[in-house]
Amino acid sequence: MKITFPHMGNMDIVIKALLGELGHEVITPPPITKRTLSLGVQYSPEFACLPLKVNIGNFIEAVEKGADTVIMAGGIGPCRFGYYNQVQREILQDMGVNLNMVVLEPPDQHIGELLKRLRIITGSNSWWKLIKAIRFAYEKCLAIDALEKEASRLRCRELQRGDVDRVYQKGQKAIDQAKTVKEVRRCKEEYIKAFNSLTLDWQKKVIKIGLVGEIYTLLEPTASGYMEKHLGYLGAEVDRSLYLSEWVNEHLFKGLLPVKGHQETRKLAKPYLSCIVGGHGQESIGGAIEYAKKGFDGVIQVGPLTCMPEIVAQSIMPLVEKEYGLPVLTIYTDEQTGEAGLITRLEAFIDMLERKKIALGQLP
Amino acid sequence: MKSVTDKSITIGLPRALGYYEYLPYWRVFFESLGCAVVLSPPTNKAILDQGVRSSVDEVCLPVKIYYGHVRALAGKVDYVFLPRLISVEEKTYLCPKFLGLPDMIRAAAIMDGDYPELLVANVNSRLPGGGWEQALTEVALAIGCSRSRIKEALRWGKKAQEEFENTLEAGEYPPDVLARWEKSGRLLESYAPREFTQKKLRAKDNKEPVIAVIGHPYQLFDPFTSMNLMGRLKEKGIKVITPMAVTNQRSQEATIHLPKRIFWSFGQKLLGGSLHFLQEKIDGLIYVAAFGCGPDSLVGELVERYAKRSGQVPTLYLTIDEHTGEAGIVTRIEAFLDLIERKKVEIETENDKDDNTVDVALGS
Ligand code: SF4
Ligand code: SF4
Repeated sequence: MKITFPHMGNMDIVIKALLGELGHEVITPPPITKRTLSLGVQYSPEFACLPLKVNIGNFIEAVEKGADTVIMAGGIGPCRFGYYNQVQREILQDMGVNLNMVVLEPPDQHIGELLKRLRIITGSNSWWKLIKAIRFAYEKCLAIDALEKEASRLRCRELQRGDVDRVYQKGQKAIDQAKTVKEVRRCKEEYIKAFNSLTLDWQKKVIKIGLVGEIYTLLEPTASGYMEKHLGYLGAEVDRSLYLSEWVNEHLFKGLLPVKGHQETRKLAKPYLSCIVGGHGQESIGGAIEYAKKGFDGVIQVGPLTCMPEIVAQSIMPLVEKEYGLPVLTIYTDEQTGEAGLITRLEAFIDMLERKKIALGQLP
Repeated sequence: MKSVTDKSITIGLPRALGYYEYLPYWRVFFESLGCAVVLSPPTNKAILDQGVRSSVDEVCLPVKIYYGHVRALAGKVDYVFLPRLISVEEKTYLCPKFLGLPDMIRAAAIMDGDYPELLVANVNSRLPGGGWEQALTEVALAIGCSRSRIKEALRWGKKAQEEFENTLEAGEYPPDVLARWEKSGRLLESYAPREFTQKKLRAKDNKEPVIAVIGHPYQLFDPFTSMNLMGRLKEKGIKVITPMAVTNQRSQEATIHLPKRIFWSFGQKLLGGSLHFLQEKIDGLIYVAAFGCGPDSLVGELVERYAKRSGQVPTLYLTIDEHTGEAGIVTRIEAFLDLIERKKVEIETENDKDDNTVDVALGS
């Protein structure tokens, strides 16, 4: 069995660690490129949201590398994501691509369904081994999130364009290659130090921007046109409302670990959006409010074009903007989003925030 | 808040979204409580324009139109009934936009005023006792009705709804059925449903082509947004059948072989209805996707793929947006009808002696 999975940001490092520890042969799909995207677009429904299309591209390219089984998450509504796998299955079948799909989702009828699927992953490993593997993978997840977070905070202060990302990439690689929990932790510390020993402009007055929105566009840089990086280059310190480790803790470990969750975020959203709407709609509203309270200068909401929960949130956002005096920019991306056009929009937003700050006397 | 004790209350029902499936229930319920019911006018250019102005660009056309209908009731009613349809059947959902709708409208109302007061209640059949009865009771209590009166009104409302659904499932043409309830909510005593028992029609006798038209009721049966598609087909002497005539049981049977249950109740209706019709002898299938609809992008894709695999039935996939020209739609329909005609002649000459019967419910 050669297992693959869809890409989403640094998730490949984490899944590779988990499955590798359990003794599986893992085929990481090639990094997402133009080809991945155009394969995905070619075979997917035109109006499907972007992640479905990129997934298809990943699957095709992974099969080319020899994968025969794919593991992916599913869902039971209310958003499209929960139904992705059924559509993807039919697409692959019509293409004549042989890929066994193992979908991890809450069982519909009986817990046995899920256990049977999990069995494929756990194989004959003991519980002890399984727990160790999960712990190892999660440690990598935490480490890589910490580096990513630091990179987004510091990019705007680098004096030499690309310094921060060079450290970040080295760190990613080191964490990927680490063999023990101890080693992972050491890598994390080492690279956090490396970031801070760069020559950075600490005097610079920067604009602080919070990112909220749909998980795939937040986590997968190619899906947002490398938005975090560009914002950094444009002089903004960026904070993101969602990291993989938080999502894993909240949805897979049911919040057992003392990692920041989004319970509070959703509570803040309630007066504006009182009900779950799937995806991260409530978190987008609540996240924006959190950033407003923390004194951020602006918020960018990002999602794939036609993303339903984000459209709901976007419809309500003007009220949040008004009540909190918080400028919010909504950006949807799809396969046609060009980086150049994106940069122009980000630039205009940052200019606006800067002018606002100057008028308030908070910037010279 | 105005209450029933202050003389008659007028309740507005926007002629959009859930209206096409629940009008009898709502209307009879409120009228039995002693309220007056006012319907917004049929969708027209002004309502569409208002909806487009009030909503974000990215939202689907049916929701845009909903905004317009709510606005159209401003100044004419005491309240607009705006149920939050989370789930209308156990273990299912509606789409994220239905879940967020009351909050979206509320935000718009606060931002630009000039909206009627809203009566909101959650319909959530995922919770025990959380369906329509609970929601209607909640709003009736809010306007000061007594429990005993509410109980009585619920009884009448449910009866009207049952009758409505039975008539649809018996195959009567939905707009005709709806029209009766649009005229008045008091048809209950005098009206006896016609006998529409599933007609067995000899394929040979049935000269007119039978076309299954698949889509959301609020898309198909709003002549303005569907460019009068149904009317046009009927003018050409086509027998039109829609998923509204397919019972839940038949729809479930038609999808039982799928590895994953569809968690959108309307999605099940559209997919199950399509698969059911594909097993019957129909001459063509038209899928009408609502513009900007998330679920349609997946459900429609599956319907298209399954229709193609079955190989027999010509399929047309139509998306109609606010800019679609009438001429374009007419040409596409005509080309499709020609195709069907050619195919029909082919088949007829092939198996002339075939004495097959079809068991479909036909609109009159
Ligand atoms: S949350 Fe957005 S991107 Fe994700 S499935 Fe739903 S519509 Fe698609
Ligand atoms: S089902 Fe489609 S058309 Fe209906 S509200 Fe949802 S997105 Fe809009």
